Amino acid sequence: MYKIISRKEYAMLIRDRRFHILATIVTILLIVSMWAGFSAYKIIRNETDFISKESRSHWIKQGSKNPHEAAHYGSFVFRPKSELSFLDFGVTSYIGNSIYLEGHNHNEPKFSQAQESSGLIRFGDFTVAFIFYTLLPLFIIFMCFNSFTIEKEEKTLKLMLSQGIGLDVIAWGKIEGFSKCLAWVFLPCLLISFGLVIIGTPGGVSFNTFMRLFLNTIVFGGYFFVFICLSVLVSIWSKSSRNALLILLGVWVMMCIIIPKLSANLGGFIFKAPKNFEFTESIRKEVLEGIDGHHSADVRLNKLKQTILAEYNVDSLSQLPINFDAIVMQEAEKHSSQVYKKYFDSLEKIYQKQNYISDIFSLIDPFITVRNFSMSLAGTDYKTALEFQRQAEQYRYNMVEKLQNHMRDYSKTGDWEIKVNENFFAKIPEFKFKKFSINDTITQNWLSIISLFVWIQLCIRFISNLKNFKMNDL
Amino acid sequence: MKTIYIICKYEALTFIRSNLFKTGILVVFLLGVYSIFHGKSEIDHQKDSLVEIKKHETTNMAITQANFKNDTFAYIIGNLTFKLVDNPPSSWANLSIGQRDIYPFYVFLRYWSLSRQILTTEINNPEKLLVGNFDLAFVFIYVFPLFIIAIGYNIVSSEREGGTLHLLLSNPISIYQVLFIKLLFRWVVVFLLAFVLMLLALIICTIQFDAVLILWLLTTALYFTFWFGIILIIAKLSKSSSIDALSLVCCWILFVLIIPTVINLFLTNFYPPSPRYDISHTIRHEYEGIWSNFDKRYHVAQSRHSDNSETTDSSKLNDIKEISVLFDSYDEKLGPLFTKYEKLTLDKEAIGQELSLLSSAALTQQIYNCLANTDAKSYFNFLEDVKTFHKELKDFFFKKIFNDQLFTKADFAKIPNYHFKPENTPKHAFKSILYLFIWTTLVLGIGLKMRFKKI
Repeated sequence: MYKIISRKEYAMLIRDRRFHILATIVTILLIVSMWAGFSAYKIIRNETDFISKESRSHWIKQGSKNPHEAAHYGSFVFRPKSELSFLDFGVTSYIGNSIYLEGHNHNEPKFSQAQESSGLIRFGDFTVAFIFYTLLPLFIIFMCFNSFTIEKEEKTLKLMLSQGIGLDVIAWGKIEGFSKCLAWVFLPCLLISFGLVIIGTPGGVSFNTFMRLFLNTIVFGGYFFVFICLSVLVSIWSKSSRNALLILLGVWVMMCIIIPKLSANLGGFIFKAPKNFEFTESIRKEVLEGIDGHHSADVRLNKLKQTILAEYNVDSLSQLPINFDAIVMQEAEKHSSQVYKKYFDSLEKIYQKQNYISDIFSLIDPFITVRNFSMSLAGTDYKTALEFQRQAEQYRYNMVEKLQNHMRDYSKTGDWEIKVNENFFAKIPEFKFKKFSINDTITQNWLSIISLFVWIQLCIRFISNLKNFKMNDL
Repeated sequence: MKTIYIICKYEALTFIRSNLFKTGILVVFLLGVYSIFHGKSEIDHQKDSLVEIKKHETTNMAITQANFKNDTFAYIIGNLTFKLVDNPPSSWANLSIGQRDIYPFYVFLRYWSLSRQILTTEINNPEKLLVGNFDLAFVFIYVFPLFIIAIGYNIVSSEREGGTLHLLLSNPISIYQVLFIKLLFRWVVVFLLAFVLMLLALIICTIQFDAVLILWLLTTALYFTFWFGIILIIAKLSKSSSIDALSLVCCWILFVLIIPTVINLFLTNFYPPSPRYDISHTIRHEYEGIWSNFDKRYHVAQSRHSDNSETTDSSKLNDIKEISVLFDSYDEKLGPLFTKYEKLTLDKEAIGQELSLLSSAALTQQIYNCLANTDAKSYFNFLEDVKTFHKELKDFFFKKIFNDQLFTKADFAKIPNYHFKPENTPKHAFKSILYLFIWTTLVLGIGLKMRFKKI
């Protein structure tokens, strides 16, 4: 019986003009967003690849120079575009694209897309993910809002129930029918995405990318299932199609528009982040409390001097077999890095608390769950951007340390004529961003996974419990 | 007249008895109040920040003044003199935060190279930036049209479906008059709600009554009228209330979600974000060039452990002069690159503004941002002020450095200070308001001109 209902619903919907129009509109929007997202991804990736190579070439061919001067010259790293970023731009528009890595300074990522965009960027990015998590639920609502109310209005529901079929069986049949129809819109889009990833990714699709796409399918599939079940349940509980539609539209507005914005803003409202000036001043003051690589009058510097002299068992700096200036500069670098790390970690904790409010809301709003997970899978979430910043800072520290250590070991105090050449610069490895593995992504999104799982379980439970519904309840 | 009174009276009674209306009005009101407090909290955060920096600037100057009892070299004071160049929020920014959370709203400047100081970024949670601000502009642009749809989608269809339409029309009144009175009644209710929220915002955020208020109210009234025009068109298509609700939500999605995001997508594709490598590379190359000349000398001096930042020998003075010239030429080299990207962003903004014509929601957002001085244009005007003030500060210290003049105690009072000049009501807002007026008139005109498909 369940199969018959499913087939009937599928056949009815697939012949419905309303479905044809909506499916065509959604498909066109998906194709446009995919094409535009992919071409933007290709342009930016090609440009980033080109300038990363150029930046590396400038680094190697900077000419013979003192290692500390080379540290001042520094290097640039550019945030690479992930293969799936064309599906979901995530937070990348709001984070700088490049970081200048130089001695003494811990620069922030600069030149975010939002800073060079028109004010319209605040309306959001028109991506495949945006259509999936904002517009497709609405498409589902339009398809399903009268799934039961129409049966009630036409008195066919009581006819079916009088034949001994459980309400749950009818509901499952309808859900399967709707899901099959939705698959005609959803699955081709994912297949095209897969094709685009194969075409657009140099070296083919990795296991990591494949798994990300696969998980994306499962997550969005689960999300659509929740919306189909919700629509069917509301249709069962509503007295008329109009009421069902109004309730479902209200739910959609709250879930997809109001709650995501409200929760993120509430997080910022409750957990205030420090002011920019206060933050940078605190760092500056604490850095000054340590050894300053540029001022020799420091008391701590003298202490370091005594320690090094004692270690080498000599009386003066000129007797040292190594360059004391390089040691001082490296100590300063070490100290400032620790201070920066401390402050950025504390800022990060505040942001985590702010985002945690959003995560809690994801328990009542599957939209937030899916949005967060989708960004993570596309590699465009805040955690990935932060990881890039961390790895870039580590690379900067290692690069400066290598240069200072060379100066320390191969020259004597006061010798600023020591130079390193192209061969030395080439030995410093190129920066390669190590992305999160699929396991890391899953671990980071445990709350989203649980939340989606709970939603799916609740839907299954509610639909299955419909068998206890009495005819009089309808 | 009596019929009009009766229709209005029963409309009011229906609303008062309707749970949907009561819930809707309460939800919209609460969201509005929250948005006012949220906007105020964000803007207060920026204001507090500026007060803090000003205090720091004053204390810093007082300490410097106290430390230098005698005349000294100008570069020493110049290095210690940081001046706040701020872009304080207008009181209307509380209601439309716009791009203020993305662009820096102050620069703490020294007379040295501007290029190294101007590239500042605000610290902010990217996930919060992604969803945008829950300000009153958001409530007016996103939430109010939904409320309008909720109370107006079945304006005629409910009478038709309830069987009261023919009864109503048996009175000496036409369906057009009924529809017009009903729409007007709803418009007044919605506008009153928005007006109450505006009054609350004026009190909570201590906003003064000025021309901006009139323009803000006018924009809001036009935007709401646009949505009532859409309801009028849909009502005249004479479909069932479910189809009407569906059609109206589709219109909302089109104007509020799809068109603005598609314009944004278009701009991203035709003006792809640039990593600005030319700026980055020039900064690196030129800056390194300067330091390779001087840094080594300092380090050699340090390694002798005799360096002192207050060294006053002539070699150091010459170095300072040379560095100052080099930094000036460094700024000159970077200037055209900065201008190039500023122009690109402003071009993008201008095209975005023109394309906003396609969506009343995008247009209204642009107007609100423009009236509150929270758009990109306002930021770039501020950048111009920064450049002008930096030049003034630089000229002040350069004059002394290059003329070998010592910095006297009396000179402290002569150090230039930045004074923010509030912008007048932005003229480009008028153009957008005119566009919105055309939109509204067009939609309303079509609605009025249309005939009912069936009664």
